[in-house]
Amino acid sequence: MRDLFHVKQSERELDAELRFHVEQQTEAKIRAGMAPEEARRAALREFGGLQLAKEECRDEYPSQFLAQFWSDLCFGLRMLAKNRGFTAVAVLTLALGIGATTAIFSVVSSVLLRPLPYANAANLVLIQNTYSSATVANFPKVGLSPGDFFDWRGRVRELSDVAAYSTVSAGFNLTGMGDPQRVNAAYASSNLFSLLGVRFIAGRNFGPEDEQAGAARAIILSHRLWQSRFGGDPGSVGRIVDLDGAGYLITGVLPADFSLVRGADIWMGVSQFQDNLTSRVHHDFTTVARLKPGVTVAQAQQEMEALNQQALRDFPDTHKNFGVAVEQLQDPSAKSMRTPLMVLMGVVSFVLLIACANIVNLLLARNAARRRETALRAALGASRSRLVRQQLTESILLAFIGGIFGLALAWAGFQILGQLAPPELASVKEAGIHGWVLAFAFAVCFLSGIISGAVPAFRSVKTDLNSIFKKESKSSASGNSQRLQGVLVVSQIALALIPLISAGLLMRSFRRLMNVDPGFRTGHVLTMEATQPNLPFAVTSKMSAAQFLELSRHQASEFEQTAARIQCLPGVVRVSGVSVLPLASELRSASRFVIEGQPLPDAGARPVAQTRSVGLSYFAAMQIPLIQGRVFEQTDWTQTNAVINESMARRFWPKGDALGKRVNVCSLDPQPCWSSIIGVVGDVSQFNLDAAPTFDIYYSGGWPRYFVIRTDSDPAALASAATAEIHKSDSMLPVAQIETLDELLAASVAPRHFPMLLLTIFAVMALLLACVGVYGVMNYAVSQRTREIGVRMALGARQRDVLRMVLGRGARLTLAGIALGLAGAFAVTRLLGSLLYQVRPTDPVTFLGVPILFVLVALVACWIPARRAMRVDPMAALRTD
Amino acid sequence: MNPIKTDLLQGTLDLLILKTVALGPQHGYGISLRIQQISREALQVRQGSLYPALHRLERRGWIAAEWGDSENNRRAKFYKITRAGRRQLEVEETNWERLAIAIGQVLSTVEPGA
Repeated sequence: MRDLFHVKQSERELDAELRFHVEQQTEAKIRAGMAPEEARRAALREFGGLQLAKEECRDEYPSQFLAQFWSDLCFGLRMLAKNRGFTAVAVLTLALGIGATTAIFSVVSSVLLRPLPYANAANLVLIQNTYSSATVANFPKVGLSPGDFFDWRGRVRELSDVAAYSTVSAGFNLTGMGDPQRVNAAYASSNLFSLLGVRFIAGRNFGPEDEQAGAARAIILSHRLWQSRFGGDPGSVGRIVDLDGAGYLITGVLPADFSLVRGADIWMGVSQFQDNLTSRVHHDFTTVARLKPGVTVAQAQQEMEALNQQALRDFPDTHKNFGVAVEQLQDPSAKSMRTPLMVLMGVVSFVLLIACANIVNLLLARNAARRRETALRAALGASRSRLVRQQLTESILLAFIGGIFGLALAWAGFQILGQLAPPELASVKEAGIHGWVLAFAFAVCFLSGIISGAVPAFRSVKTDLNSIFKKESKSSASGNSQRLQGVLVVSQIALALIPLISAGLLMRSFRRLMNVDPGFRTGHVLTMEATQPNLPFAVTSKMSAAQFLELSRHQASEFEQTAARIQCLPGVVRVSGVSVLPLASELRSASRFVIEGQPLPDAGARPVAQTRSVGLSYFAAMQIPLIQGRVFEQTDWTQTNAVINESMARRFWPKGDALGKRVNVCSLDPQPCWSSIIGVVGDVSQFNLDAAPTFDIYYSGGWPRYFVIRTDSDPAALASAATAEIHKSDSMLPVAQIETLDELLAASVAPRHFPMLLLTIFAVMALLLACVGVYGVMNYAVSQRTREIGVRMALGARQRDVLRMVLGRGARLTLAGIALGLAGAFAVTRLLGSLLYQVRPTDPVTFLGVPILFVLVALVACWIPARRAMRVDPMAALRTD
Repeated sequence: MNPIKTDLLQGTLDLLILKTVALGPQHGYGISLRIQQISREALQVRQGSLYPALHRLERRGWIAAEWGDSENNRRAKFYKITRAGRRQLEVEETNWERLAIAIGQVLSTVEPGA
C-alpha cells in the first residue's frame, strides 16, 4: 500500500519533468519566431511519444510492479465479467482439468507420499524369509520362525533393536460387555512399540511385570476398538475384560494412526502366542528392526544372510530352500496402489493439458476479435511487455477462478467416490483438500494460466499494428492462427486417445476377470461369521489325538444341528459352513504337505495346500461340483478323511487314482497326521479371481467359522432370523461380517474395478474436452471464412460441396490426431502392466474400436459447424465485411 | 552540417549522458541541448529515449537527481554524476576506444586483389 502512495508521487514528478522539457522546447521555438500554438505542437512532435516515454520510464522501476499488477487484476476481472459466455466456458473447462488433477494428487499424497507414522522411519527395515523355489502363489516372502527370531535377536550387531509381530491373527470372543463381539488379536514382542516409537494415548506398553507368574495376562487396545467398544474412556486402562471366557488386563491404548496390522483389534505379548516359541517351522513372526546409525540396508542384509547360513547348518531340515531378505519398511498399501495411481496421475495430466489447449483456442479466437483494441492500446503507449503481462494476468485469473470451482468439484467427487472405494483403499478415504494439496492446486492454477495464456498473449502483440487499422480482410491475419489451432486440436485428440485406449483395455480386462468361474455359484448366498471361543493353548496342548477328535466331533454335531434349524427357515435351500471363505484377500490357513508313497522333497520345496474345514453339505451349498469319490458324511468326523480339489488330483495323480491315497499336512511336526482322500471336487478361487489355482485340502469336523446359507430369494432378508437361530444354541456367540457372496465377490474385484472406474471417468472427460476443442476450432474457422464460403457458393458451389469442405478439414484433423494418439498409445500402454488381465497391451480390438468411436464422436462435433457453413447465405456473406 | 539523426545504441547513449553530466549538473532538456551542441549538431538524441535512459542511470546509482530551479526560475529535475558514475564513465570510455580501434583495423584491411 505504501507503494501506491509512492507511485502517485513519482507519477507527478515524472509528469512535471517531461512537461518542463516540452515547455523549454516550446519557448525556444517561440523565441525562434514560431507562433505559440505551432511551437507547442512542434515541440510535442519532436519529443516523440510522450506517453511512451512515460511508460518506459515507469518500466525502469520494478517497484511499480505491485501497482501495475493490481490494475492488471482489476482490468482482467472487468473484461471477464463483460464476456460472460467466454468466461463460463473457460472456467468450466479449467475446473474439470484442475479439479481432476488436484483430486488424484490428493490421493497420491495421502497414499504414496505419506511418511510412516513411526519415529525415524527411514532406518526401519523389514526382515523376512524368502522361498527360493516359488511354489506358492500370492506371497513370495514370509515372516521369520519364532526360533530364528529369538535366536538372532541376541546376535545381531548391525541392528540396534529387533522386534516382531505375528501375522497369524487369532480371534477371540469379547463377552461380558453387552453384545458379544469377535475381536482379532495380533501378537507383539515386548519391544515392538518402543522400537517403532509409538506414543500410547493411555496406559503403557507391556512390561516385565506382566510376565511375572500369577500376573493377569495383559492386552493393549487398538484405537478403533477403544473408541467403538470402550467409548474412548481413559479409565479403561486397568480394566479386566473377558476374552474366550478368560480374564485379560488392559494395560494401554494405541494412537489412532497406528495401523501396522490393519485388522488387529487388540495386541497381546508373544508369550501368549499359542504356538511353540522355539519352533523353527512355522513362519509367523514378521520382523521389524532398526538399523544402527551409519549402517546401510545392504550391510544388514549381509549380516542376516550370514546368520541364515548358520541356521541352515544347524537345522538343515527346516531351513533348506529358505533365504532371508532385508528391505526398507514401507506402507503395504502404497506398494499395491503405486501403479494404478501413477497411471491415473498421467491420465489427469492429459486431461489438464487438453483443457489448457481449449483455453488457448478460446483465447486465440477472443484476441482476434479484440485486435483493434489491442492495437489502440499499443499506440497509446502501452509497451509490449506490459500488454503481454496484462493478458497473462487475465489468463492466470481465469485459471484461479477455474481452480476454485475445480476444488469444489474434487470435493464433491470425493464424497461420491468415497462410497465406492473398496475397504482396502481405506487411506483413499483419508485423502482430502488440505495442506500440500492446496499448495499443489495453487501451483497447478498458476502453471495452467501461464501455459494457456502465453502463446495467445505473445501472438497478440506480434501483429503489425498498422495493418489492423487499414480495412483489411480478416483472413490474412488469422491464417497463421488457424494453423496453430489445427496443431492444438490434433494434439488434443492424441492426448485424449491414449487414456481412452487405456480405459478400453482395463474394461476388457475387467470383463475377462468377471468371466472367470470362481468354482461356485455366488447368487443368493448369505455368509456370516460365528466362531466358537478357542480353548486355551495350555489345555489343547495336553489333549491326546483321540480327545481332540472327540472334541471336534462334538463341535461338528452342534454345528450341524444349528445348520439344520436354519435350513428350516422359509426360503432357505441349504446351510453349511467353512473355516475360511473363498475369495479371501489374504492367506489364512495353509500348510505344506507330503504324499505317501511319493519321494520326499526338502521342507522348503514341499508343496503348499490351502486347508479348509467344512460342514457336511458345504459343496452342495456352494454348488461346487463333485468330480470323483464322495463328499463328507457324519462318519468322517471320527476319522481323518480329506477331500482334495481337481488341480491337486491332476498334479499328483495324473492317472486319476487319487482316491484312497494319503497325505500328511503336519510333515514338519514331529508326529505326522495322515488323511485319506475320499473325494475330489472342482477348483475354487480361494483368493482373487486372477490368482493362480491352488491345491485345496478339505476336512470335516469342528465348528467352522463361517455359516454359508443358500436361499432362493433375497439372502439379506434372512440375516436376523439366522442370527436368532445361532443364538439359540449359544447366546454368547458373536455373529459378525454378515454379507452375501455377491458382495464378497464385488469386494474382491474392487481393487481392479475402482481404478478402472476412475480411469474411465477421466478418459470420458478427456474425450468430451477434446471434442469441445474440435467443435470450437471448426466453428471458429467457419465464422472466419463466411465470406469465402459465400464467394464459393456464389460461384456455383452447392451445399454438399461446402459440407464436404468443412467435414474434410475436420476429418483430416481427427485422423491426424488419431494417428498420433495410436502411436503414443502403442508406446505407453505397456506401462499398465499388472492392471491388465489376459489382455495384451496392444490388444487389436481396443486399438481399432476406440478410434472408430472417437471418429463418430468427432463427426458429431463437426456436424453443427458444418450445418452452419451449409446455411451461409451467399448474398449476406458477400455484403458483410 | 545536416544533423544526422543517428539511432544511438543504448550503451552509447549512457556514455554520452554520463560524460555530459560529468561536466556539471544539468536537467534533461539541458543534457539533450548540450549533446547536440558539443557534437556540433551531429548527434540529436531522440528525446523519447533520453528520459528512460536518465531514469535507468539513476536507478543504477551512476547519476543522482535533485529538484532545483532552472535558469528561468522554473522547477526542474537536475542530474549530477556520482562517484560510482565517474568510475563507470572511465570504464565505458575505455571500452569505446577499444571498439573504435578494432573497427578501424577491420576497415583498414586492404581488399584482396586491389
